[in-house]
Amino acid sequence: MTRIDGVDGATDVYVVGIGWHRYQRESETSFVDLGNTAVRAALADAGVDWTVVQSAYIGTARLGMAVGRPMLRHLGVTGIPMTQVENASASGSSAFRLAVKDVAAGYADLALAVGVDKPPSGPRAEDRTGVRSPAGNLVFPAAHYGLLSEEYLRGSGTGPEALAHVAVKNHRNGSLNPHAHRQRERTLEEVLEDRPIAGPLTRLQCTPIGEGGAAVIVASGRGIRELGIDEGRAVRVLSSAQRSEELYGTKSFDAELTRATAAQALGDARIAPDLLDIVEVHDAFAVEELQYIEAIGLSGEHRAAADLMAGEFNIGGRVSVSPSGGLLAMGHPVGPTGIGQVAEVTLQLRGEAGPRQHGGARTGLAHMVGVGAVCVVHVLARS
Amino acid sequence: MDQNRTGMRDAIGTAGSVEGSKCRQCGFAQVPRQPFGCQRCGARGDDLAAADFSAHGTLLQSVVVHLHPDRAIRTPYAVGTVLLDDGPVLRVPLSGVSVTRGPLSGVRGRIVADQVEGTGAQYAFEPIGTPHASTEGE
Repeated sequence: MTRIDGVDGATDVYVVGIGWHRYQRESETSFVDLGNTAVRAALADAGVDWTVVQSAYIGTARLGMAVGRPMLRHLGVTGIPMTQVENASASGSSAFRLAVKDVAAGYADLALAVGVDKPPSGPRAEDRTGVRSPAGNLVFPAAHYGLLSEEYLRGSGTGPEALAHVAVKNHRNGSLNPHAHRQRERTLEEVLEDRPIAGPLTRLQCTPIGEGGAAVIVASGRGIRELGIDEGRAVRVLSSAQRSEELYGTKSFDAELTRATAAQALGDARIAPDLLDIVEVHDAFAVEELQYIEAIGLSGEHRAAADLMAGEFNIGGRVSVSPSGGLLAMGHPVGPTGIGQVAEVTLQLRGEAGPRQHGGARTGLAHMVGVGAVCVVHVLARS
Repeated sequence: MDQNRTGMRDAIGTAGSVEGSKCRQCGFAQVPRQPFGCQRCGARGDDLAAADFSAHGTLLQSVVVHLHPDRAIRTPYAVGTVLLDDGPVLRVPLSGVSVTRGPLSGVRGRIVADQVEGTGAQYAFEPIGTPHASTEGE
């Protein structure tokens, strides 16, 4: 049963189709092609026509207003409701959540969530409040996570190589993913000796923000039966949780917000953290993966680095974390990122991930945070 | 760092206090000052009082930034997280700290008014006495 914010969905919800346009550096490719490549792939994966999709949510943060129609009109006229969703880095995750809600509530038997984005980024509302930050623009995301990196390394008693191992693992996973922005395996030395960005973070420990597309189609059980969709490849959505930042004093707001949202999602799914096989997290900076592993409950406090270096989060390890390559290697085009995570979890739970398949995967979790801050977590399971 | 900021920095004097807001309903203290409403309880108007907090505090973490997305901003520079003695936490650039030393933690100091041209920064943290690196140099 799909549970959304602790409420049982009237209708179970399944992911039945997934697709991507490769995440990549900014190019001349139109966002129309980026998004529709992913949508057409998801439709083909589900084995359904565009004409049976009953609602669409478009996750995007950088393209400006009214992205849906200029893109989706090239799939043919259907007149379905289209809603643009902007929630910073979690835009795609929130678009997916709304598609899930449509199906759970009975508004649709088949709904689309598509994420699409291209550089450049627009202004942030935070910079337009009229209240000046004490540090101005000197504390940007890499500086923020550099500070958290220092805090984590000191607290865990580890050195910069602990962070670098996160990047080594995720670049290795990304080298096995044809949709990843970065597809090159990197050694520990390459990561550590790469261009310094902020504190211990080097370039290879920071996500590349480029362009791309990702799409997911969700369906009800009735939709699956009536449209003849392969039930054996459908992956069930167990829960959907979304929360926003509270006041945490000196603690990392990303980690604390993740702790609360993941606990809600796992509780709703009635899944203990140690039963998770696949976890995709918002590892835009290497330290984030360690913080979120602990916040989700996969490692004890300050234990994630040691567990990671012991191979526990490798593909084939105790739980595979960021098998797609994560934001560090898969990339972070922003709008598509959260939807691409759900697609990766689906691929893994179906057993269709090829050379990066984590054996015997039955349950998975997708996690994103976005500036603001917001956090979205979904838990999925093999049907 | 100071050498790198020569010509960019327009110090307007040592601040005896840091401008913020304090809620008369719930006591929540925050920096920067804002007129919109208390972030904890939502009180506003006269209940959200302007407050001048002690400039003294403790540096919790610091890092050296080597590359900024805006290439017009000169690097390297150091920034840190400061816990003011009155409670609020803020992020500010560091003043009077060499960027060649390792990250600092637990250092006592004070917030000084310090505007860095083109960055919007209003304050900086200035250690009191001789700061000691918490780890080996970067």
